[in-house]
Amino acid sequence: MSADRDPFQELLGSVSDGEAIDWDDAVGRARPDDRLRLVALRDVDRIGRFNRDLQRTLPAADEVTGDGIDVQRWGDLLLLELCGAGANAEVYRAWDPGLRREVALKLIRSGAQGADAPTDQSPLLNEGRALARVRHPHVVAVHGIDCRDGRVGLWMELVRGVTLEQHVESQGPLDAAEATRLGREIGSALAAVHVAGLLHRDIKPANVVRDPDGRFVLTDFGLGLSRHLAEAPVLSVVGSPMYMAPEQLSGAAADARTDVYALGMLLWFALTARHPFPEDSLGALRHAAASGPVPALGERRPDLPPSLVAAVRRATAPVAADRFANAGQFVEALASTTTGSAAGQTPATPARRRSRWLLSMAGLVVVAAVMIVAVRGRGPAEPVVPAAASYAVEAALLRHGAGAPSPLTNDDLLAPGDRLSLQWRATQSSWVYVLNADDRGEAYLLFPQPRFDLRNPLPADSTLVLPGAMSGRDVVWTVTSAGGRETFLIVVSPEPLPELEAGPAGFAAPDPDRPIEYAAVDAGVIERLRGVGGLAAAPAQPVSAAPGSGSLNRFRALAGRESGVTGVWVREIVLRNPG
Amino acid sequence: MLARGGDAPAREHLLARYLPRLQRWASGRLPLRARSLLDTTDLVQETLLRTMEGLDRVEVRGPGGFQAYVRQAVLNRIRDQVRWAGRRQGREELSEDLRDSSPSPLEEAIGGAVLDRYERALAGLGQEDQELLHLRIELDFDYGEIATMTGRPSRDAARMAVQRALGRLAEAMGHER
Repeated sequence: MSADRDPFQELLGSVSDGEAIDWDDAVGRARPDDRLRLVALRDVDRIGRFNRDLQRTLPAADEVTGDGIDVQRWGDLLLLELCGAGANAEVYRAWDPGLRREVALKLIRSGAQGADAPTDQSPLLNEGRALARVRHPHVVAVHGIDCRDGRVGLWMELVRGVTLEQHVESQGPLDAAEATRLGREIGSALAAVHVAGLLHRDIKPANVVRDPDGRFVLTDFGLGLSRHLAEAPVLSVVGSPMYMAPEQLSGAAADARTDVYALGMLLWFALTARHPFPEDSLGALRHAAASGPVPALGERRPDLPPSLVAAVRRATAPVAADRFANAGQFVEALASTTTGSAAGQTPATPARRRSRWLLSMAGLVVVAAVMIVAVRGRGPAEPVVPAAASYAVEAALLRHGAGAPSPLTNDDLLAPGDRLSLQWRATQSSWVYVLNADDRGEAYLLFPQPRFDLRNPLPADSTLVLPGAMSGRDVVWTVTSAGGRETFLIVVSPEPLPELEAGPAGFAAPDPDRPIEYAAVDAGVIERLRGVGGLAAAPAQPVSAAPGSGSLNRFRALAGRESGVTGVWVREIVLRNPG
Repeated sequence: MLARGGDAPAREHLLARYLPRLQRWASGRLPLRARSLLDTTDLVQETLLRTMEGLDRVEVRGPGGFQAYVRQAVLNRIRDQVRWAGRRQGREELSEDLRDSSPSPLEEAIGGAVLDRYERALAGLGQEDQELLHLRIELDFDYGEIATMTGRPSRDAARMAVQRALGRLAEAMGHER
């Protein structure tokens, strides 16, 4: 650019034509009195580029569905709508013809850090592939990552719902029970992410989605922000400062405890609808976060259980060494929180009909196989709670629908036709029993059954889906009628429980095409279980008060014994199944 | 203007060329929070059709007035949508600008202050300049299309007109800083 030509006039043509411009150079060379309009022209150029990206990558809806009209694509994916945009990426609602479902597609902007690296060396691709290995009910599922049409893209599960930020703004602070569930769900998600060798580093309310079923899902891994744990040093502040740990704000090394801090701050926000540090500058925020603990949560919410307040306080300790060592520990602390509003304290509903169960063959072969393959090799998932010092268990009751199986948690709604299974994994060989009772207190043994292919003891370190197969055909439990409330107990033991093992003659063999033929567990069996010396265990999660009558109450009492028990892991899930 | 006077084929022609680009542009201006059953496509189509139906009652001064008018109508409709979403969620009434705690994709990408300066400077330009910038900077029409749509004799004439409008816009934005 020669000195005697007007750079502003020259740049007008380049901006108008959409040419690439080195703005740092152009603004740097500008005369002081010309700088303002050059900066303004640069801003217009940014607006123009944003709009150009929209026009060239995003079809209008009628173009997608119209015959013979040019359809905008990224690879095979049809772009339907722009959902969001940031400095480095745009997020679209897209249609994946291979999966035959809508997905969220994150397209990295050309020029973003790492976006233009060769395909086989791209850190974005490597990190995306690592993330794609994470399969967890509370982590948005990544379907794939690739470089197509010259742009790196990551396509993933499209989670419908509102962000935690929107939910809190519209509904107010969460109650203790829901906040505890939020912490446990996102905490277990973080544990799975960390096991994959990644850090999230941008935990904030806008990155947590609450779906219509109330499930919290961790989203937006902000490609380029996550790092392998071994490469934790951060060169610059990235992410949302309001939720950052002091070491992250100062550019020091980050590790799992950095995400633990952000999760603690997230819970503080969720419980108060405010941020603990109102500072409006990065410097002031950095000072406030490093100079002392966050303001006492209990003063703003005196109704909260002290254990919940203490857990959040420890998670948000300014010094990383004072925090939980990992997300799993935080989850454990939250699991031992008594919120006072557990599902078990809701009034019991008189049962009108007894629930019935059907073993269904339909369509689960592929789903189960995919789940087993996908989950294998990943780390702890919810709930990750050691039952004894020597082993740990993860178990999730899943509902199978049109999409990916979704986990069921306390107070979720069931309906006739729902198909259920149990995803299970333990670090040692174990005997597993799944029991179910309805409001009338009649209890059934859903697993094991003589005709199931899976037999106790189940092997260590294998993720399995129960009930598994029957004569080589995968089966699930199907709800065939309404029954008030359903209580599930998942019992894991390092050795057989004689009272349950001894009674196979009393259990009818399940028939895949007929309603339940599980025999009721004899109340005497349950009663005798209480006397199993040396087998009980610390509960996997707080055991709620007895939900009405039922023989499981006696067994539930076993789960509630926190002392003098060693070895049996029990988890209780209470679901609603109104008629 | 091409579409005035109840010329149905002309209206369809204009809709076919203009509507898809307007929808894409609007999708960058509508905050995610405000999206609902009425999505961006419906919002823009409804606004444009209403505008077309009311063309005879609308005073559109000189060339370039139509697109600038439609652009403002869509922004007004987006503002209404944001307010509606805010009220639905129990929020306070929003101010006259589009500011909301849930930014639009464009606002998130370039920042609210820059977008405010851009909008104010654009509103201060003549309708013809507004239309040229809308067609080129916002809707990515090429110079040939812009020449046709704005009645200019050639691509070069359209290009020069866009550049002049761009210069005036940057000057106005620079004065605001």
